[in-house]
Amino acid sequence: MNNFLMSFFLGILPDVIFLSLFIIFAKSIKTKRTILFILLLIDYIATLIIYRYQTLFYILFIIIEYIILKILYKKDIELIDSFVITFPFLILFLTSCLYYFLIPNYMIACIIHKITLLLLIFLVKNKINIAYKKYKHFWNRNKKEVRKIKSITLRNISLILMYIFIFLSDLVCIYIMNVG
Amino acid sequence: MKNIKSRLFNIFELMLIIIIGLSMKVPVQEIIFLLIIFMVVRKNSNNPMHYKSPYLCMLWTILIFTSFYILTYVNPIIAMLGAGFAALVVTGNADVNDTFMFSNDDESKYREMKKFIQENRDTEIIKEYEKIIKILNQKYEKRYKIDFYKVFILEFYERKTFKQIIEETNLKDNKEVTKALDIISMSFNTYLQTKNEYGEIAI
Repeated sequence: MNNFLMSFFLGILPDVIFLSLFIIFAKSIKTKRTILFILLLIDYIATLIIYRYQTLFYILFIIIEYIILKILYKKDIELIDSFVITFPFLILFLTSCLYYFLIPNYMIACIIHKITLLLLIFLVKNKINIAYKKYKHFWNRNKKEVRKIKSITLRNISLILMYIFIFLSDLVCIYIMNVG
Repeated sequence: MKNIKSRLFNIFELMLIIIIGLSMKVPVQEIIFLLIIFMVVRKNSNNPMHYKSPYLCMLWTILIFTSFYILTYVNPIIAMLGAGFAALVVTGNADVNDTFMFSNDDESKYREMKKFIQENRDTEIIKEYEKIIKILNQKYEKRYKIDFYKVFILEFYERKTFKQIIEETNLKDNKEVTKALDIISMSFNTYLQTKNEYGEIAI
């Protein structure tokens, strides 16, 4: 029981808060925020129970999160948002690896990691929305405008980053399983 | 002749992709499946995207396929799903519908107001205006049959398109949305003029 509570308050809850806030800030979501958070929490716990320490956890969670968003916000959610959902996972994954290797004490590393993440997201909340709008702006083709990056290149980069993230997460999951 | 050249180039590209896959020790059947899935989904999708330069096209195709090969180390099924998803993303099917927010805004009648509200969101001046528009709504909603506050939120906060505003309000067409926005922008400009320090927003 103690283990579950610790993992809930130090792992699941801050992660879900971070993931929900990211999508809320990015898309400037004004409605159904609480229900979104609750559904993501259920999604996170359910997926974690099925695929603990497996890459499939990330993939399944992202797919279900996309479906939840699509049901809640319908037309406002498009294919581009699958990358917006993946991005906070990438941050979560990279920073947790960084803290894990930098700070030898796992508990302290975990607490500092979650606090810094939540602080960070509130500090840059307006910038997330601006960055999302820029990303969205470059997503479609526009022949009238000379751009720094082509729409197809942006899509390719997003895909490659997403797949590399899946691969890296798999490596780390195997490492964690072996180290224990 | 040009066609033959391009066919030869495509065959060379295909060979290169297969060789890279083999050198990464990906089984041949998986390479073939990835190629087929990517090509079939792309072929059957709406408006596939292309590079003008064949060399750029080759470079990015190789990079994309390398990422599929990397995914096969995780799970071949995931790699195949990834190939299908990638094929879909690089077509018109993945286009964002209400796109060109910024470029359209350059021509929008309310662009300065949008920009001002965007930059001053959550400040006292905007919150105060929200109160004004609520009063405006109470007084004139029945006469004009327009929920000014809702239109204001949809247009300037949620940046919805005219079509979406029509769907979410009782307004019938673009003309009515423009009418509502004209009244809102005029009231906003008048409000700003009373605040000397912020000056006037051209509308």
